[in-house]
Amino acid sequence: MRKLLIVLAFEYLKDVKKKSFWIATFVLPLIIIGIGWISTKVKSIGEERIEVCVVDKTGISQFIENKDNISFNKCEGADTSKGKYVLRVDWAGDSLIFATVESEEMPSPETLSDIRETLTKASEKYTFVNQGVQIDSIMAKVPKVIVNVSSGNKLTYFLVFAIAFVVTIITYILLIMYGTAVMNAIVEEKQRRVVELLLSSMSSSILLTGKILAIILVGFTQLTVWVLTGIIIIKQFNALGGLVPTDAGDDLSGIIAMLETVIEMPLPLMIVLIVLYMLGGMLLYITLFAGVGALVNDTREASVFTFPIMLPIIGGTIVVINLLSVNPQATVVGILSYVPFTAPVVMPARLPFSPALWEIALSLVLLYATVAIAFWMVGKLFRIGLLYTGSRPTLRTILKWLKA
Amino acid sequence: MPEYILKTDNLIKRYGDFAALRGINVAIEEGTIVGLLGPNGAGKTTFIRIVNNILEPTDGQVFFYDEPLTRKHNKLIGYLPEERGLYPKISVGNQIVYFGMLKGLSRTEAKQKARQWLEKLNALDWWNKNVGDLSKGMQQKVQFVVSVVHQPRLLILDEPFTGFDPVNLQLIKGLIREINNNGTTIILSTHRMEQVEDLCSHIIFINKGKVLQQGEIKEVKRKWARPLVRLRVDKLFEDSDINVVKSTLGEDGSWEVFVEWNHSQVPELVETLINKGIKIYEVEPVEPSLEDIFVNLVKAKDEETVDSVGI
Repeated sequence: MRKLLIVLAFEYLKDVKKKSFWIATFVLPLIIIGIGWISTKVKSIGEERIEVCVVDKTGISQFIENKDNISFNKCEGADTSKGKYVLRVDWAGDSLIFATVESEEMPSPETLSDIRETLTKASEKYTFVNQGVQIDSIMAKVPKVIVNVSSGNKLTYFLVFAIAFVVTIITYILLIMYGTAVMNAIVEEKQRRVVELLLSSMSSSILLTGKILAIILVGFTQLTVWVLTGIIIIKQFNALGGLVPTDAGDDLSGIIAMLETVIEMPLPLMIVLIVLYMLGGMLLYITLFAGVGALVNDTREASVFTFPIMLPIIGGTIVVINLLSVNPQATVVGILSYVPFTAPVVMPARLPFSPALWEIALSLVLLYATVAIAFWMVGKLFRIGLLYTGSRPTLRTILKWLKA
Repeated sequence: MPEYILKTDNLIKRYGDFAALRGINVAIEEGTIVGLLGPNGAGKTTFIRIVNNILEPTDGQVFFYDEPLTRKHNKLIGYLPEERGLYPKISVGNQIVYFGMLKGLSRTEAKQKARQWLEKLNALDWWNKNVGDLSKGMQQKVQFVVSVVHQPRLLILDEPFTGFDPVNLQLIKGLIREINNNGTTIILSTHRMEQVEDLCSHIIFINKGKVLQQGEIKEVKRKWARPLVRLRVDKLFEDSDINVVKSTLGEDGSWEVFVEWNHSQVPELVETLINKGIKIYEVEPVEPSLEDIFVNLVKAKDEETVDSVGI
């Protein structure tokens, strides 16, 4: 136990004292924020206002209304200078309206469907008026429809997704970053022959445990810095005029209050569960990466082993990003949240959508059982692999070591 | 009755089908400096790793002060591996303290001992320097300190002299003697036989996973040395009773000849040669080197283990 603590303290301080650790801690959030900012910018560039010049021979165009992203302007003849597109409404019969869109570039399907929709609405009004209906008085009677999501407002709902994504992305980054870090450190110790000296002082399992726990502690240190920075930033925003329109005091307590109204699960429980998944994920993946470090002699050799290990995390993250916003209840999301290799990135993202407690319990039990098995297996590989300096072991050799 | 710090009982280590150690029996007396000699692949490193608890033997046992060796003995053993290794980006001081603590010292003790050792090596001002920034020779010194900082009872040095210039070599040899005088038993594994003759009182010859010979150097020499006589003569000669081991032509036209001959019967040798009309310029009885003995032993006892002459 004493040796484990010595190794843990040494390994922890070794990483935390590195300049690269602090650079990563402060630069990584900036990169993530930067990517977010760029993607919204790109989106707004893509959503440039489209101008459509309408050449109308039927009279329908007087009922055409502008949309959020498209403005329709009446023009005479074929003057295309005003907009990118020219909409010719050529002919209107009893049951058919015939129109053409002219443009140099192919309009996007979305733009075409918007134009079609606008034209359909206009033709409805046109028909009502032709039939002698007082359109204004009728329209005044049509009730306005407002769709509210859950019991919260748009911002709260957005927050739930934001939390799901942020938790997934952070877990993903921590797993890959620290998994690779521990693997590289072990390969370096093998290359520099420090391993022999270390093993003359302690068993390989103490070394392995010390290394894994130290790197997890480093990960949680980084996480704490991020959370504290986040809280400070939110408080600063509050001082600058408010981020969240709420009556519930400052922004932070406002966000918490809002989260509590929209998430069924008590917030402290959710935080505990997120930490448990992050911890389980880190234990599992860092152990596996440590095993790879013990097997290879340099990091170039490692890719053969790391690729299959990284696949589930990458796959899980892609599923979360793509499916969760469309359908958080999709079966595939459910299954991936039980599979131990994807659960650490998928289940935390499901938590705001209140999965059943048995689902959480099942996935946690599976995750930690897999951690135990992985630790046992890597422990065996570690003992032999650390002193092994020959060519990269084949699958058969690895199996032999596991049986030894 | 001498006290043995380390004994092994029929130590066997197999890696798959390959047997690295094939029944090693050694007994190392406390307070000695023992040279562990053998060609590459003889099993020296495997033996050392087993004594350091890095590897487990396939069969047989190791006794440390008559107790079966376990990890609790690690703090009494110091180890300088052949393949040196330290963390390049960690400071000298922190590194020595870390390994000292792993060997059972408290942080304060480790710091104190590390300072003492660095002072002795005129290297105290390296304390805050990263190991990677030091020269190779300096790194070797730090590595040496790491292996002795916890005042081990048994110190295992695997090729400790590589990388040292002659000045530092003398310094390290002096330190090894000093550590030994303070009661630490030392196992010195090296290819450099002259260093073994210089430092060691005992030797263990290993070849192909077996002990060929062990004991006090002078005993081993007495038992296994072929006595040689060096002669400088005017021309080469042939005689069925005289076994010429080596002959070289000198610049002045004379020959330097080594013959296998009993040292107490040198006058008879001289007489025989004079009778043959050979002019003799120089005669000198020569002590055979450990290397000669080792080569002879390997030739003579390639596949069989020689009985111990007892240490």
